[in-house]
Amino acid sequence: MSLTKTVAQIAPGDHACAVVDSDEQHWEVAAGYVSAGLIQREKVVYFDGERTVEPLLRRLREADVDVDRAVDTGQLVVLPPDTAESSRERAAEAVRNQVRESIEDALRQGYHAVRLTDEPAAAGRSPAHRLGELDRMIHEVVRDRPVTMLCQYDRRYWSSSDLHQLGELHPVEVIAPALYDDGLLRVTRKAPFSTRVCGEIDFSNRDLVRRMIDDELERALRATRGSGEVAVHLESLRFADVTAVAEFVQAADGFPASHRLVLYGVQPSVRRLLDRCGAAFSPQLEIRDRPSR
Amino acid sequence: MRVQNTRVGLPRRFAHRGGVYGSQSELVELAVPLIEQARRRGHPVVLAVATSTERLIRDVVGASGLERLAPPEPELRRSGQTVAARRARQLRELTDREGPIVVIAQHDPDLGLLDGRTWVETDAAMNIALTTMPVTMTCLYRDPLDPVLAAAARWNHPLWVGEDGSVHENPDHRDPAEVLAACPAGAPAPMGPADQELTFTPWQLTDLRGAVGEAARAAGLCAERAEDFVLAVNEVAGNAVEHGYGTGLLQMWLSPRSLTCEVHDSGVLGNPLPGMRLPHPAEHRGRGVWIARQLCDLLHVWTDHDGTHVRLQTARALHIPDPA
Repeated sequence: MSLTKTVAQIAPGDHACAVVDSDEQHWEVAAGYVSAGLIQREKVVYFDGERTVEPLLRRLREADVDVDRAVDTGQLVVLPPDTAESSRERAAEAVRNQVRESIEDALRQGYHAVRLTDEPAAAGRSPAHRLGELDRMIHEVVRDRPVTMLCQYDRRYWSSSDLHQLGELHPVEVIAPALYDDGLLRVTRKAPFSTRVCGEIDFSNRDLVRRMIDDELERALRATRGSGEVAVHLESLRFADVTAVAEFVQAADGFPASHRLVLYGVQPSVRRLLDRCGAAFSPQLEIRDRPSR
Repeated sequence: MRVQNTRVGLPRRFAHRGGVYGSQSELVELAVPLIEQARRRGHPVVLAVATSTERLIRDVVGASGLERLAPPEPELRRSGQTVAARRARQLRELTDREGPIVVIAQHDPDLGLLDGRTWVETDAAMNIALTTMPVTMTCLYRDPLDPVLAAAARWNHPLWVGEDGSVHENPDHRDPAEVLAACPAGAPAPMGPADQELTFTPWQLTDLRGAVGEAARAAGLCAERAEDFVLAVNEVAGNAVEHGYGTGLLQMWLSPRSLTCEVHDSGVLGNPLPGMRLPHPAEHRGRGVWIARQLCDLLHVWTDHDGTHVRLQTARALHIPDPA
């Protein structure tokens, strides 16, 4: 039986797992985990397995994390794919030694804690029982050390029974709920009347945007307290088509005078499109830089 | 590229006049009173005429207050809608700065600029694109005209200039959609086998954007132009799957001068020239292709028995070798 926590609640000593449904969810979980480690001055070791680490680094930059500095100072270490790839194939003993060395190196460098994670494990590369074995061995290494470990599994590639089996090995399960996630677009709630929209909006999913804003306005209007601000965070919105952006403007035009739609952290390409769709002429629409952390 | 938007609904302000001339001196005789009248009203005059005609006009009226529209680039000359969109952009910049303007355009088949069919398409597209702009444009055609072009010239101009320079309502004038139904936009010059092809459904538009973005980077476009071109192709592709039958075909060509995409679907086009005019803010749809036209060097829509086709083109930055 695991304890459930959010990414922000993970603390040194936790050996956690996260089952992700989409790339966006993986980047959200991994970026939250890595940036929390960097803020807490922990050493972060990222085993870059089957995919490229670039989308994760982009996501960290979108969250205003100084990735280059973290890499330059050695606080964030990305083990390249071939290292991680071969380590999967090596004897469990060698992997255990590699993890142990990473931890000892970090502590010798003066870090008070170490965070480890990797790309979501996909089925087919390693069978569940082998991953389980590996996990048990690594768990022995990290136990009683100032180490946090997050193992990620991509739900699209595992059977329910495998996921259950793997989940049982982890004392902590990380949850990252979404209001919506279709694999291309992911919407999460940051705070009351504040949502975060990540990914891409196009013909296939854009109807959702207007519905989401309308729902948020409805909730804001019914709330007795509140600033009258419906906030949408767009730092990780990488593409939006013309109709979707026009929907933001038209939705704001329909707001009552007491409320306004505030878009935070808009990427330059979406910003240019907002200008082309007349955002500047919509008094109920505000575009702001990201709020200070 | 920055596209300015206006959210003010304007009434129809475009006055499109046609007329014929027999000789260059007749053309000058028709043009000079128009220029003098514009000057009296303080309106700038824009000439889209042959260099020799412009010289004759300047000899008579002087150069003051005369602007010049350069002839369309050779690669645009088979797309009247692209010429019209480009002209609309140029004239909008001028009217935003100067207010009402007067344009005098000369059609002479011997100049080899636009063929008759493209000229008809350009004039019809102008009637849509310039609707709300304070422009008085007089298009003067050299007589004798090809019979089809002569008829189409009368269809495209709500006002007609007589031999004595007087202006009358033209009873032969027709709506641009009617003109384009009779003289549809033609297919552009074929490009040969595509460098890359991709069929797509609504759920694969993200793959299409990835492929176009990669090609744009390979073409050496800067990040902003690459993003704009990806957006333009996405808008057209989104229309293809929305108005077609759920699938479309993307073709791409990379040449030393440009990156070209074509989007094909089997749907029927309701509006023969979509995206020629910025929709009113109250109109929820129709903005995508208008923006796409602003972001491309060429966007040409045509139809045939296979369906609807759109060619989009963006110029590559010329590589200037480092002297070192």
